[in-house]
Amino acid sequence: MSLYSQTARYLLLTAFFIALVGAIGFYTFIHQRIRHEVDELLTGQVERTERRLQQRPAGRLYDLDDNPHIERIAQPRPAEFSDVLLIDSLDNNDPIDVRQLQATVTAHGQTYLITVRQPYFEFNELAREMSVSVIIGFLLLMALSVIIGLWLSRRLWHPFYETIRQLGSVRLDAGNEPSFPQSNIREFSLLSQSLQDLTQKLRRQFLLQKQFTENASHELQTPLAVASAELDFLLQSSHLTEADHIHLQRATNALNRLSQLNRSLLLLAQVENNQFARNEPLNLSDLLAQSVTEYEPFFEHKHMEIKEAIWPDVYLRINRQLAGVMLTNLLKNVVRHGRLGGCVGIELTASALTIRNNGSPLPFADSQLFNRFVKDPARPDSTGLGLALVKQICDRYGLSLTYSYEAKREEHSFRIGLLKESE
Amino acid sequence: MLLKNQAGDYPNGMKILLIEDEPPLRTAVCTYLEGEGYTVTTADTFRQGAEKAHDYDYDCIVVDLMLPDGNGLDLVRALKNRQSSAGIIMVTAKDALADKLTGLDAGADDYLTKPFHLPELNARLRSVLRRRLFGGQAQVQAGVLTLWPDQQRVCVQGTDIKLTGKEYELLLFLVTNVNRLLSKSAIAEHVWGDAMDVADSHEFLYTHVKNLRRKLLAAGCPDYIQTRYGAGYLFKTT
Repeated sequence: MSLYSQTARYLLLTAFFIALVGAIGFYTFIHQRIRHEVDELLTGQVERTERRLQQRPAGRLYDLDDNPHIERIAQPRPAEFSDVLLIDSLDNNDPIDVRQLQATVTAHGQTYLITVRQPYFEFNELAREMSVSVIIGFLLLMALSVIIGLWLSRRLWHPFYETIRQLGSVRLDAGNEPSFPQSNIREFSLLSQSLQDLTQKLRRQFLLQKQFTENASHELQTPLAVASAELDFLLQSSHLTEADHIHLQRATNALNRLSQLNRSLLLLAQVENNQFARNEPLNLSDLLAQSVTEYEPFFEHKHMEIKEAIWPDVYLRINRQLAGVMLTNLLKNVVRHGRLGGCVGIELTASALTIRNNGSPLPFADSQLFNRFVKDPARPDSTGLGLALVKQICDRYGLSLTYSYEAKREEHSFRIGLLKESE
Repeated sequence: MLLKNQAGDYPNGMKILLIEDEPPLRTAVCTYLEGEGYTVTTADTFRQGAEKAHDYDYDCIVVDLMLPDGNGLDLVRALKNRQSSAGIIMVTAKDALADKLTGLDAGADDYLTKPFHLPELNARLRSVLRRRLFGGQAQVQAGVLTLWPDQQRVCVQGTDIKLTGKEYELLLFLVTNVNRLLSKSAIAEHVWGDAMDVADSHEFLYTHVKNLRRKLLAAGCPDYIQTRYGAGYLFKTT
């Protein structure tokens, strides 16, 4: 629920509550005031009657309405106000609210009970009308203020929403700086300024990190290139013995491993730092088929039987290079560790990519498989980073990567769930 | 000017500009390429490289992308803007697909990642020069073998030999680096690239070389491919 509607909801609820309480309170108050006025009126009437009684005898004092009603009584009673219901003989015999005052007065040594009555009707109607109109006025005012308030906050909060929108589209790797809207509201301009500073800081850090990995790459690969070139030279020398050649070969292999290690580590760092942003909807089916074709000769070389089941047009939103690295490393793993003459199962559906191969059980715990530098002691020449990279890439894209081993069929199986966990 | 020797498109006198800031690498590459028959000019900064590329005509320019005073990509763009006829090979330590695509988009002919084997650079250079000078009609002669690199065709005295794609790449690489002892790593890397870590592919390579040799011998070609135990392979026509 947005800030506006939340505000409006609270305002309207409060207004309704106030209107309800106010209506009752106001009506009661007006009613009380009216009764008070009526009581004063009645008291005055009693006083006037008393004065007239003292001037002339009671028998000549009457009027058509029998109001005031005067009778003689023996004992004086305290004055008493009361609300009574009388039948209105003029208006369909409807009962009407009447205020009555009974008081005793003494005139010429005689005690009289005087009863004066005043019907409420106009007054009550007045009270009701006043209450209703005041409440309607109040509600209208509230509605107006809510509307104005909403309009105002929509206007006032506009920079805030604009800022949020901008923030959502910030990309650290993109060249353009995000521009947060300036506002003449201090808090918002402060927010914009802070965000601007923050994104600038983040971007600087991101670029520094990126630069570092690039520089590290350059600085490390260059001496490797020098060493490799020198070894190539040495290889051309005609004075080398067979033993020399074997030494050279070993040095070349070690150098290759070092270079591979360096590249994998840098790639890991780059994936970790989110330096691969260019995601695209990628046809995984095509890429997988292409990679499998590339590895077919290697499978054949190890006399492996390939069982391929690739659904056409399975798309995944991912960086192309990383998808390539992911598939390549999985297939490389199969070629390297798969059993000679075993089976390779490659299966791609809309929900998962599964790659299986026959082989002996892992020489270490399953949980270590995707850790860095964990490798088969029988194959010390591998970098131990291939599957770690696969794991890192899957994590980066929220894909689930699971490994299982079926002892009966001696089958390793890697499964990548393609339906992102977040969806 | 292109002089052909017995081993095909030997690039005697082909002019190469090498822009590389790392002195030992520059020296090694320069010496190796000169040994291959190229005329090599070197430059160690972007500025120097740009000046030389502007003032003289080269057949191919090998440029490092990360130079202390500039980005090699800018040089590629500048050369393309002048519609220079020189081929361009970018050399970089960055192994990023995006950079590679940017470079090729800018007009570079090829892209080489450090560290690279010197025979690999030679093969790339030769390929770029062949394309530049002969279009799709290049023809390479090696002893009794004739190769048409762009058509993946090879024949011995008029008879075609059927080779698989990888076998053809293997043969072309050997022919291109004729009389050079090639390490297994260099060959495997050229033919299979990143698909296989080199250590895994030695045995694989052995099988492929064996098959290639068998096919060549069956077609009546002398055994040009020599094995040097522990070192690698050597293609020799004499």
